[in-house]
Amino acid sequence: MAKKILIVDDDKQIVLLLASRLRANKYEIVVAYDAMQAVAKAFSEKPDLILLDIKLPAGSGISVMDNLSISTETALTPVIVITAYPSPEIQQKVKEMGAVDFISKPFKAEDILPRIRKALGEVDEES
Amino acid sequence: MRSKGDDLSMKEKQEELLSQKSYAESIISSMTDALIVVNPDSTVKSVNKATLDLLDYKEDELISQPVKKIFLQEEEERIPHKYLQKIMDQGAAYNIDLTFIAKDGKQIPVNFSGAVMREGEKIISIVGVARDMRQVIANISDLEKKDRDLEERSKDLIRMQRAMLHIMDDLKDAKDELERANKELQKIDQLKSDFVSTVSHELRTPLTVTREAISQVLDGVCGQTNKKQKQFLSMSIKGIDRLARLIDNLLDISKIEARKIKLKRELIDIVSLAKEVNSNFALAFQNKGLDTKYNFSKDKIELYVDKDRIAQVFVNLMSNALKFTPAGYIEISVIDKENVVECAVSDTGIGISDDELPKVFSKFEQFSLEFESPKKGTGLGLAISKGIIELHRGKIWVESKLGQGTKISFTLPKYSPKRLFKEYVTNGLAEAIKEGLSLSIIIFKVKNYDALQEKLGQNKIASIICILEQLIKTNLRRKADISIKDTRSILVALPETDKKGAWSTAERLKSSLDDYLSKEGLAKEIEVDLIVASFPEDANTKEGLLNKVQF
Repeated sequence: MAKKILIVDDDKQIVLLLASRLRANKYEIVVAYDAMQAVAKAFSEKPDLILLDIKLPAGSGISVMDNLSISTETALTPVIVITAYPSPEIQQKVKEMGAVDFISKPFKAEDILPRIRKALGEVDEES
Repeated sequence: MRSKGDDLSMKEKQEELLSQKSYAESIISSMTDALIVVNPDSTVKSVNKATLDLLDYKEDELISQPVKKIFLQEEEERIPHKYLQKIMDQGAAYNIDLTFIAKDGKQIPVNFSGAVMREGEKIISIVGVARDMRQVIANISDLEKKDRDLEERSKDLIRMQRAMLHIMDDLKDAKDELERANKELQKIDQLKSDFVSTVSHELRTPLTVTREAISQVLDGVCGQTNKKQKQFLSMSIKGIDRLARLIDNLLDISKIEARKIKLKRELIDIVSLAKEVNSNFALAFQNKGLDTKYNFSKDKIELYVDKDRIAQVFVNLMSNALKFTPAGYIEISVIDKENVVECAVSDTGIGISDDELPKVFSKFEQFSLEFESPKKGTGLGLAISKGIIELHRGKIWVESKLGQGTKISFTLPKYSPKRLFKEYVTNGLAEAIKEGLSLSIIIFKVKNYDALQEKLGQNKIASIICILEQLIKTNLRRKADISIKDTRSILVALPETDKKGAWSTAERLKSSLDDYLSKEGLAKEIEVDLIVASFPEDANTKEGLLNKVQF
C-alpha cells in the first residue's frame, strides 16, 4: 500500500508541485494550507510522514508539532521541517521537538525525495 | 742579695720595657685616628702622625701650644671649659661632635672621645682621639640627597599616576563611545543582513517554483515530451540554476567585502567545470559567430575549490568576453603548473584602454563601449570574481590591448593529496559537529609498496593505484563522498556516514578492488590494508580521527 504523506505549506504552488512530484513517485498525498488544517488532517488521515513548513497562517509549524506530540496516534509520525528561514535556533528547536530532518527553501524536489525515503525507512542509510 | 741572674733579668726587663714602649709608639703613630694628649693647663703635650696629617701642622707648631688652636674659634670656650672639664670631672667623654681647624683654616668635623690619665689622684694629662667625619658626613649628605631625589621621584610618580587616571577616564569615555557606535553598527549590519536574506528569499521562491514546474514536465510527470522539448527544458533548468547562483553571488558581494563568506570546498575537475560553463555559452557564441578554443594542459585537473564560486568566475569572464567581442574567438585555458593551476579566458574583442585597466576589478565600473551594448552588466562581475579568487588564495589579473583583445587569468593553489584530505576532513568534521551528523574516513593502503616498487617499477605500481582509485570512485554512490589518491594509499571520506555504514561501504569497495586484482592476477602480489575511522564513534577531533587511520 502506498505510503501517505501530509504536505503542509501556505504556498499553494509549492504544495501543488510537491504533491505532483510525490504522486509521480507513488505516494498518496494529503495537503493542508494552515496550522489548524494541518493538525486536523494529521489526526483524520494518519499520514506516514509530514512535510511541515514553519511559517504558517493560524499558528506555526512549531504549534503543529506541539499539538501532534499530545496524542499517541500522531506523536510518532515522522516530521520533516521545511523553512525559508533556516536559523540555527529554529533548527535546534525543531530537532528537540523530534523533527527527523530539516530542509531549507528553496529546495529541489530531487533532493527531497531521498530524504523522504530515508525518513520513511525505505532505504538503508548507506546509499 | 742579687745574683748575676737577677742582673740579667733586670736588663732583660728594661729591654722588654723599651721594646714595649716603641711598640706602643709605633701603634700610636700608625693609628689612622688623630691622637692628642693635652696637659692639665690645656696645652698640647703630644700628637700622633695622623693628627699632623689631618691638620697639616708640623709637630713643633702644636706642642706646648694652647689646644684651642686646633678647635673652631666659636667653640674654643666650650672646649676646655665644657668638654675638657667634663672629661676631667667624669674621667671620660665619648662621641662628641666637634670641629677642628687645620693650619690653612679648613674646618674638619670630627668625632671626639677623651679620657684622663692619672698618676695616683693627680691628673697628668687628657688623651683624646678624633675621627675625621668628612667622609661619613659626605656619605650622609649623599644619602640625604638621594632621599630627596627619591622623594621628588615619588612626587613625580604621584603626578604621573594622577595624569594616568585622567587619561584612563578619557579612554573609558572613548571606549563607551566606541561601544555605543559599535552597537549602532551591529544594528545596521543586522538590518542589512535581514534585508539581504529577505530579498534573497523573495527572489528564490518564484525561481524554485519555476524550476520545479519545468523539472516535472521534463521528468514526464505531466506526460510525454519529445527529445527537442526535453533539450530545451534542460536548458531552462540550467539557466534557472545559474540564475539562482547569480542571485546568491550578487548578494554575496557584500559578504565577500565583509570577509564573511564561507567556501564550500569540494574536489572537482576544473577542466570539466570550464567546459561545462562554456557549453552554456556555446549557443550565444555561435549566434555571434565566435569560435571557441580550448587550451587544456591535461584532460582532467582536480582542485579543492568551491565549485559554484569558481563556476561563477568562469561565467563572469565568459559573459564579459561574449559582451565585448564582436568577432573572432574566445579561448579558455586551464594549465597545470607546479604549485598552481592557471586558468584564463581570452578574447579578440575591443580590449580595454590603459586608463581603464587599473579599474577593471573595482566595483560598479562600467566600461565605455565603442558601440551601444544591448546588455548592460551589474558592474559587479569582476569584483566578485576577484573576491572569490582571493578567498581561494589565488591571484587574478588582466592583460589587454585596445582593439586587440583582453585576457583575464587567475590562479588557484594546488594542494598535496595529504593536505587536501586533511582540509577535507577538517571541513567535513566542522560540518558534522555543527549538524550533529557522522563522518567516516577509510584508507586503503598498499602495504608492500616498497617491495612492489622494486619489483614492478614505480610507473607500474602508480598506474595500478590509479586504476584502484578509479574503481573506488565509480563505486562510491553519493556525490558528497570523495576519494583522493596519494602515492601509496587511497583516502576516502564519507560524510553523514556512521561506523556501521562506513564498514559496509569499505567492504564493498575492498571486494571490488580484490575482484580487479585477482582478475589481473595481482591478488597475491598486492596487499591492500583497510582502515576505517568514524566520528563520533572512534574520535571526536580531526587529530583523533586522522591518528586512528595512521594518517
